[in-house]
Parts: sequence; structure tokens; C-alpha cells
Amino acid sequence: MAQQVHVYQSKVCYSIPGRFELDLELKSNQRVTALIGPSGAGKTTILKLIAGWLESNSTIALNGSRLDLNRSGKVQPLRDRGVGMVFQDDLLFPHLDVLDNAQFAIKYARSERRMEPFVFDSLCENFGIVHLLGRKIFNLSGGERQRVGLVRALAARPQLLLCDEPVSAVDRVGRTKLLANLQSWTEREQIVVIMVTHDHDEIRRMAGHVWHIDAGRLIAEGSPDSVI
Amino acid sequence: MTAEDYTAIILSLAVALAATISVVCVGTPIAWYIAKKPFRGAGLVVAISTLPLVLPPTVTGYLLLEIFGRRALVGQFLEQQFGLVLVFHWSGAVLAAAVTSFPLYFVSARSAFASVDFAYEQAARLMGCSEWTVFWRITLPLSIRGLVAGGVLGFVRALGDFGATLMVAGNIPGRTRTAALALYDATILGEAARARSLVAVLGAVAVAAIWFAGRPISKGGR
Repeated sequence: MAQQVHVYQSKVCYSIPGRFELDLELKSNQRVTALIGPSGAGKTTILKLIAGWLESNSTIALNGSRLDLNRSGKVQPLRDRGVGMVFQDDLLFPHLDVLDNAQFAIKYARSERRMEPFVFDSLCENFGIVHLLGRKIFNLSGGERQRVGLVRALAARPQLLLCDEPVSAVDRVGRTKLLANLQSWTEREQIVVIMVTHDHDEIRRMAGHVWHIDAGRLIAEGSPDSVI
Repeated sequence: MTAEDYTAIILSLAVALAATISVVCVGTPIAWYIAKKPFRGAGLVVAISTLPLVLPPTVTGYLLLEIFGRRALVGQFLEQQFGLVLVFHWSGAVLAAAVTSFPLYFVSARSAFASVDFAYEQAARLMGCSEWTVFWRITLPLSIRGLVAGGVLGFVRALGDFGATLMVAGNIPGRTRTAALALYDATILGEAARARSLVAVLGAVAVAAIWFAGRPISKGGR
């Protein structure tokens, strides 16, 4: 199935007007696109822009349908965009335990986005967090927190998942396994992934397409081998 | 202590509780809005809201009389429409206590809401949550300690209000005489034992309230 994400005529109006001028298109049949660039290039800002986190006049489309506007042409609220985000600093809710964090979307999201319990169980098993479910957030290691963050985002059943260095706190062995799990789950659920990462091996293993960003501009794109 | 003093203490607790509930109901949405949705003129709202903190309580009381007195516009409206007379009535004591304690709750609540990381709220929205759910499940639990602390400070301030209460509700034994006013009477009359007892009761309630505010909260406290 062809998957396309269009981000075009994009100018961030939030705090740095005019800095971002992007025309990004996720090429057909690329389930995972890597977003690379030096620190401060604007990678996280681009993810936030796609998610609708930042106010902008960008046009964001997935598979030809607009994510940023609803059918009547009004700005689509974040909760209706079908976009999930995994954050570099995980942003797990500190007042909830692991289970409540992981199940947050299941408990409180709109009913049509709620994941069935048996699928959630499978998701937890897939990402190896079953033994963590009774724990407090502050008792988790960095890698465990990132795994819980991934489960929490996927439990909201996004159509587009934005990952900002989602496995940076995981050791190398665990990282390979975790990314393989992420890849298999997103393929199974038909989720498009845009992932910020600095690891070239990860990019070659996972991504079919790469956007290379610098100073808010796309300076190169293509297959991993042609860009890296 | 006399029977009237016990009545004054009970009245004080009831007035402080009613004032605190009113302040929380009115102050929470205002504090949330100003902390989360900054708008032009927010500074003016903050200045007006915190004014009773810096005004002499008697000035606050006088201004309340100018607004809610029987000859004042709002006072006349309340009397004609609802038969409600605040002056020299326990409800006037609630009004005075609420106005003087409002800034303590408002400042604390605003600061508590502002300290909740916007990123947590955005993360919840991205997971499909409504604004209402974001408030109840994220913003409120993460700011609850500040809200409780503000509520307790407001309660203690309402419990001890003297000047504004005296101006608006008067000092009628058994009706509007609160513990703070009873203490003043005992002191003026040279009844030291009675005064000490009232001081002990008011002090104990204040200490208990502050202890309560400082307790760890199992869910919600960061």
C-alpha cells in the first residue's frame, strides 16, 4: 500500500517565523523514514510541526488526506489527527504507574481509537514491559522508560508515528531487538513511521527513505545508501 | 471559654470553610485560564485578584460595603432579587473572608498550573484526549499539591480575618462574632484566660491545617 506524508509550504509561526521552509514527501511504499541532521537542525521541531504541536501554516497530509484540517476546513485538534509521538525524554506521566501510563489512551481516548485488551496484552509482550506494569515510573531505567513510552504511543493506535530518538537510552543489544519489535508492530498495524536518529546502522536496518535536514531546510533525501 | 466563644469558634470554622470552597470554585478556573491561555489584559486580572493581599483589611471591608452595602448597587440588586442582605449577616463574613483569602489561593493555584509542563498536556492530546480529560487526568493531578497548599493558606487566612469581617458583618455575638473578633473582645475586657484559650484554639487549627498541606500526596504529587 502506498504511504505518503506531505509537509509542504511549511513556515513555522511559533517562535522562529520563516526559519523552516520545507517540502517533504514520504515516498511511496516507505513505511519508515529517517529524519537526520546535526544538532539544532530542527528535527524535533519538524516532528512537532507534523504532529500539530506547534502553530504553523504548514500543510500536512497523509495518504492524500489532510491531517491539519478537518472536513469543514477548520484546524484539526491534536486528538483527532491520528498522530502518535514518542519523545526523546519519554514524557511518561509522573503521577501514574507504568500500567496507567501504557493504558492511558485506552482509558481516556475517544472510543474509536481504543485498543482491544488482548491487542494491548500482545503489545506489552512484544515490547517486553509485562513485568514492569506494576512499577512506579521513577523506578524504571532510561531504557525501560523508552519501552513504556513506545507502548503508550502505539496503544493510541496512530496512523502516523513520530519517534524522536526513541531508543537512545537502550543498550545496543536491546536497541536492535526493540527496533525489530517496533518494525514488526508498525508493519502489522499499517503505521507510517518518521524517526529521528543518529545511528546509521539503525537507519540502514529500518528506513526505506531518509530526509537530511539542516537549518530548517531539506538538503538531501533518498535511500539510506545515497544520503548517508 | 464561654458558650459564646464556642459558638464563635464554630462560626469561624464554618465561615472559613464556606469562604475556602467559594474561593476554590471561583479561583481555580481563573487561575487555570491565566496560567494556560495568556491573553491581553491578564496582568490586570492578576493585579485585581491579588489586591486584597496588599490592601489594609479595613480598606477591603470598606470597598465591599461600597459594593454590597444595602445602599450600594449590587447590594440593592441582591436584596431585591434574592432577599439576600450580606451586611451584618454571617454571609457577609463569608464574603469578607473569601475576598481577603482569595489572593493566597489564586497565586498558589496559578503558579501550580503554570508549573505543569505543557509537553505532558500535549502528549495526552496526541493520544486522543479531550481538553476536559487533559485537565482532570494530567493538569489537575500534577498541580494538586500547589492547589491544596493554596487552599489551606486561604482557609487559615479566612479563619483569622478580622478587619474586613468587622467592617462587613459587624461583631454581633452568636451571629457574626467570629473567633478572631471574640479574641479582640476578650483582650479589651482584660479576660486573659479566655483570650489565651481562643489563641490556643485558633493556633492549633492553623498548625493542623499547615501540617495537612505539607503531607505527601500518594497520587498526584510530584
